[in-house]
Amino acid sequence: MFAHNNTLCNYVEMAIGAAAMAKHFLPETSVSLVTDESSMSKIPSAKMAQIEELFEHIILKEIDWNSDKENIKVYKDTGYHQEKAEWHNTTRKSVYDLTPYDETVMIDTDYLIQSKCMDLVWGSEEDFRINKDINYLNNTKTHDDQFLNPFSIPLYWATVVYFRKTERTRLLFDLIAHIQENYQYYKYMYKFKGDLYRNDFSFSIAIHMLAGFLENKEFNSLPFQYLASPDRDDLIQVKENELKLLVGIPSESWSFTLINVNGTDIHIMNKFSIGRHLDKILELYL
Amino acid sequence: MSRGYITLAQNSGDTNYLEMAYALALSLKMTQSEVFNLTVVVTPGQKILDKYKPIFDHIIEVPDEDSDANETWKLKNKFKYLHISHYDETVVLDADMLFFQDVSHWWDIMAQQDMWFCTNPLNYKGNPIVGNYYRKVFEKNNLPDIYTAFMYFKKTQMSYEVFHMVEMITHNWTKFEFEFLSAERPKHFSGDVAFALALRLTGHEYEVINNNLQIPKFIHMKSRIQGWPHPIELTAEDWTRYTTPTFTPDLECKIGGYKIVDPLHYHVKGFLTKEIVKYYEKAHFYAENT
Repeated sequence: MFAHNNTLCNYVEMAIGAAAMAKHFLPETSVSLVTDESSMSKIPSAKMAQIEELFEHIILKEIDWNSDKENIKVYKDTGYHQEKAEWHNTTRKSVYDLTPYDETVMIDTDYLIQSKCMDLVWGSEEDFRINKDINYLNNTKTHDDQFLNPFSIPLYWATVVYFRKTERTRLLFDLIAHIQENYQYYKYMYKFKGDLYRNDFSFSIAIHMLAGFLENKEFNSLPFQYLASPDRDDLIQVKENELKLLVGIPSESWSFTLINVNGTDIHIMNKFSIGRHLDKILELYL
Repeated sequence: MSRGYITLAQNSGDTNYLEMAYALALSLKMTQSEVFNLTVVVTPGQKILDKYKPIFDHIIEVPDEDSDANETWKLKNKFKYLHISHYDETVVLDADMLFFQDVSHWWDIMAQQDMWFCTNPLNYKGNPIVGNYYRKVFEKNNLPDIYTAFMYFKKTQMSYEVFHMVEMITHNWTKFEFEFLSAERPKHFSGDVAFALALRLTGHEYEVINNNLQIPKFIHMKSRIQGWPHPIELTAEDWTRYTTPTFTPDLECKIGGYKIVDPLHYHVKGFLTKEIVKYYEKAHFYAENT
């Protein structure tokens, strides 16, 4: 798990919650944390014990403060509240060198595990697996969720990425680093919108390039569906093996549907809402 | 057995089909290992630039009366290919096409039949085209869904029958359309429809289509079959308005980030810029002189 705090989000605390859930449902899986000194320095000593209990390795990787100054993300808490902050998401390109494992699942700290599905990935024949299809709780997938632009290549989601250390995956991560370093060029080439650096885009372009600039037949999806709740939704209750969410409708910001997510892993993009339930997550799963 | 490609390049209005055929001929020479000859068919008296002449295998003026003399979209001379072609085996191409990889191995496969039509064009992502927007006449009249933009024929009795029927259909288009295309009538004369109808009427349609093989194939750049999101696919035929193609001096083309490897039927005439033609000329010059 990669966790670099910013002025809005305590990603390390979120990682503690996500790791607690992961260890609960996948007790034989080791979890390591990649973070930075600044983020670690803000962790209260009471939390350090939790970190040491949950994470096998704490790996420090400094973030590029200068480049990240321009990487401003809008954090939404449903349709009613939003704030901006620097997004430190540029260290993942180094995961190949940083990981202490032969087989690794790189996972967002807001991806909450409630099942044993992730265990299916270990020992995969493929050396790299990543999901292409996203499934929102209210089934409102658009072209922007599927392609870099409507006329361009498919979008892969770097929320959960499995890889085994091979020459090919080393090449892939080298390529991702190259794309990140030349992001404006690739933005022009692939004509995607937004000024924010997105790992999803870098991974998608690298996959496309490694497939010979053709439709990808090289890399398969993970052995489970990628379920996500966008930041217009609100996580309102956490119970054992169950998350209760108010799911928004894009065209009607006032309208929500109550949905329970049982025994299924899910990417909760509303980080504020996870923060509101971290204590409960730790109470249930730690 | 001689083999070669042939295309019609009758300039019309502002459209310089001859220049497109010239680029096509250069692309064949730069990519094909075995069959790279292109015969071009032009309007009688059409001016041919000196630089074009050595690139084409043969330059042939449309024989007999130009069946398309009064048309801006020149399609009605297609039935003459059988008589025009110098080759024992011929592949008919549209002039607005380019080749990027060697397809010479297709010839031995196509030679198993007297005629062979493309039935499975692709979009630029290399996937089967989406929808039937341009093919409603075929679907509603239950005609074989063939594309003459890539059509193979040998000079045999069967192909003579088919071409002769296409000639009759071309000369009597209104009658044939009234009689046989009542379910959905085409707005204009269509070479594809004429050949499809000829195959139906001669009873040869099942001898010229082989859906088990994915060849021959080409990338069909008509905007409404690319699988683009609604309503973009309905707004314009000019696909270059939506996804800018890139073309490098080493003759590599990308559309929407996708590398083009199969024959490209670019359809939009503005795609072939002077710069691209120069890339081909330079590459051909170096290939000839090194």
